[in-house]
Amino acid sequence: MFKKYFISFFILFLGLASVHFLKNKTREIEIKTEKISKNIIFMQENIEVQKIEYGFLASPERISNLAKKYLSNDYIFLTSEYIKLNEKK
Amino acid sequence: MKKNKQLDLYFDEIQTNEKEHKHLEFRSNIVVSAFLIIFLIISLRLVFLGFDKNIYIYSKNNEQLFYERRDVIDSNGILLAKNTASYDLILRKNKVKNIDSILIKVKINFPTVKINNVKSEYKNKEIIILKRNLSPSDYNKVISLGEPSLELSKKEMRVYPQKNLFSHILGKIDIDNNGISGFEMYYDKELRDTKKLSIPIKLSLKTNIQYLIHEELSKGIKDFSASGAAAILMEAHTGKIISMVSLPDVDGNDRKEIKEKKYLSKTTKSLYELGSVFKTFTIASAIDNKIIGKNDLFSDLRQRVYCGKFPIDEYRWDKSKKNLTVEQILVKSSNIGTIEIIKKNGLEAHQKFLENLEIFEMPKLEVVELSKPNKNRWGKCNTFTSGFGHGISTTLLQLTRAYASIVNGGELPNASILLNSEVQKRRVISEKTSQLMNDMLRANVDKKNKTEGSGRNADINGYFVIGKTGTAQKPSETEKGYSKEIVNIFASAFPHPKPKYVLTVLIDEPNGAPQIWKHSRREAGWNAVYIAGRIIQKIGPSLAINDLDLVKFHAAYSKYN
Repeated sequence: MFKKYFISFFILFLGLASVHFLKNKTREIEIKTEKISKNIIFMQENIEVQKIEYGFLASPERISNLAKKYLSNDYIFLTSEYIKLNEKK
Repeated sequence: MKKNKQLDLYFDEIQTNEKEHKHLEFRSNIVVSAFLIIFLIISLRLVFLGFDKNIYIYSKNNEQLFYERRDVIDSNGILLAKNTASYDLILRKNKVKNIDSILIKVKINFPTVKINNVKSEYKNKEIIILKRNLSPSDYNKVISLGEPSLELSKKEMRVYPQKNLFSHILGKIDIDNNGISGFEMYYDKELRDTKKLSIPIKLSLKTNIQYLIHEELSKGIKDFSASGAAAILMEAHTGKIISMVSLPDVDGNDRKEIKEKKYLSKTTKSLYELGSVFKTFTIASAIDNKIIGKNDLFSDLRQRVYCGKFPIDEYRWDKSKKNLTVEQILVKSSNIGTIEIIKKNGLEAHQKFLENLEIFEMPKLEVVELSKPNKNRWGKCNTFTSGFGHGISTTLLQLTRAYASIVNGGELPNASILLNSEVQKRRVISEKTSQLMNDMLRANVDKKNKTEGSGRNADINGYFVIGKTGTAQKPSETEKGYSKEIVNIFASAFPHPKPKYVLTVLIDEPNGAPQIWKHSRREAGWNAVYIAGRIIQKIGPSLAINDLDLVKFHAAYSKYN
């Protein structure tokens, strides 16, 4: 009789212990997933900010100003040929 | 009888043992029961915990990556508008220990904050907004201050990376992310659609073309000391707008309220009498009705005609304007010749044609700044003057659409700034009429034409530009009649004979430019045409990148291939 009870309790306890072991492992994985998800969102937010920054940096106005400042007039060799063609009467 | 003491003792012992055993059994039962109860309680608790899902997940991740409004991009994918996280600096009253020391810190670190206003608000409010939309350096200052009463409040902010370039088209939003002008207001619902927040809205505009036109118009305003300028570049066959500029403009990131009239959109909102550009429509109507032909001669044209009491004069009349063919009427921009064409075509036919071009309808475009032109009551005199664009007003957008229909083979397209919107168009003139009109409009720009056309300063080699100029006096704002100020227009298209692009340029209140022409004439041929030519010269190569047809038209192609 006692043996039966003992086995039943043992199985019950083992079951509970297994459930909790799995539960704890799941929790650990969930925490890791959570951290990774937060990192992904943080990185994506950064990418969105970088997109805006790229928009400002690559704006035609800025590039035009930089070209005027740092490039000599004959840098774009096609321009002179193009002007000649357009001025041809 | 002698008692057996030993037996008694034994019996006693047994009796004592039995008692003790019972006692022990009782105690062990209690202990075992207690253990069992505790075990059951723990087991039950474990079972409950096993089924409880959320308790161990330390925070459910509900953060959204996407913001409240969708991005807006141009046809090349360049960012035009985007929401981003922003911070406001706030002062929380219940955490303040010494307001004076805090205000000193605020004054030192954020000099633009008005301390007197803060002091007055401090008496009545629990939370005071000190500064909106902090810059990254301001954000870092707040963090390094470490003052508990100074808090950062996270919110969203709309950013326009191209600054001024698209301010008249895109419009603005308020601090609650609601569109209050331009495309932002017209398309507010779509822009806030929560299901599509990750999908940007693609416009037909091109940032590089917009910049080049913006730059040339700005130069034009300086060169001709004008009060403003505007231009629209439209795909002739689809009605898609590639560029739409109105100057002066403002930086879209600047949150100031704009009240000055000069900032009104000159492309869709302001109404103008557009002058001789309308001669194109007058002639197209008569040709399409098979009333006149390209080479029909109108002879004995006078310097002045009367409509009732009112005289209508020829502009700069000389003998060469006495006998003119239809093409010459267009190229020499003869007012009297145009009136003769209207007489021949019939007043009603002319009126119907203009109405069919939707000149007097409310323009359709995905912005809110639109004006409905005032439809005149048609009379004899204003029908005559409408032939050369006087006495009737419309928007530059309506003119561009109507012009597209004349040059694209005869179909009037609906204008749109959405890249993927459905193209809608309907026929207004025949293909043959359109081709004839294109040839005549080319004659007005062609430098080789002996009859010097008003558009010859826009004849950029390789692009075969066609077009018609218009110069009109502006109505006086103070008294009845017209002022001395003028508005000049050049409606053009390229490349001839099958134009793909329509470009209309408007210069508001220009003056002469002797530094360029060595004279001070201020008609459209000396400013709007010149600017349009420069624009075509600059945007041509950019347009040709994805347009082999345009490349083949260019002089360079025939030279090197």
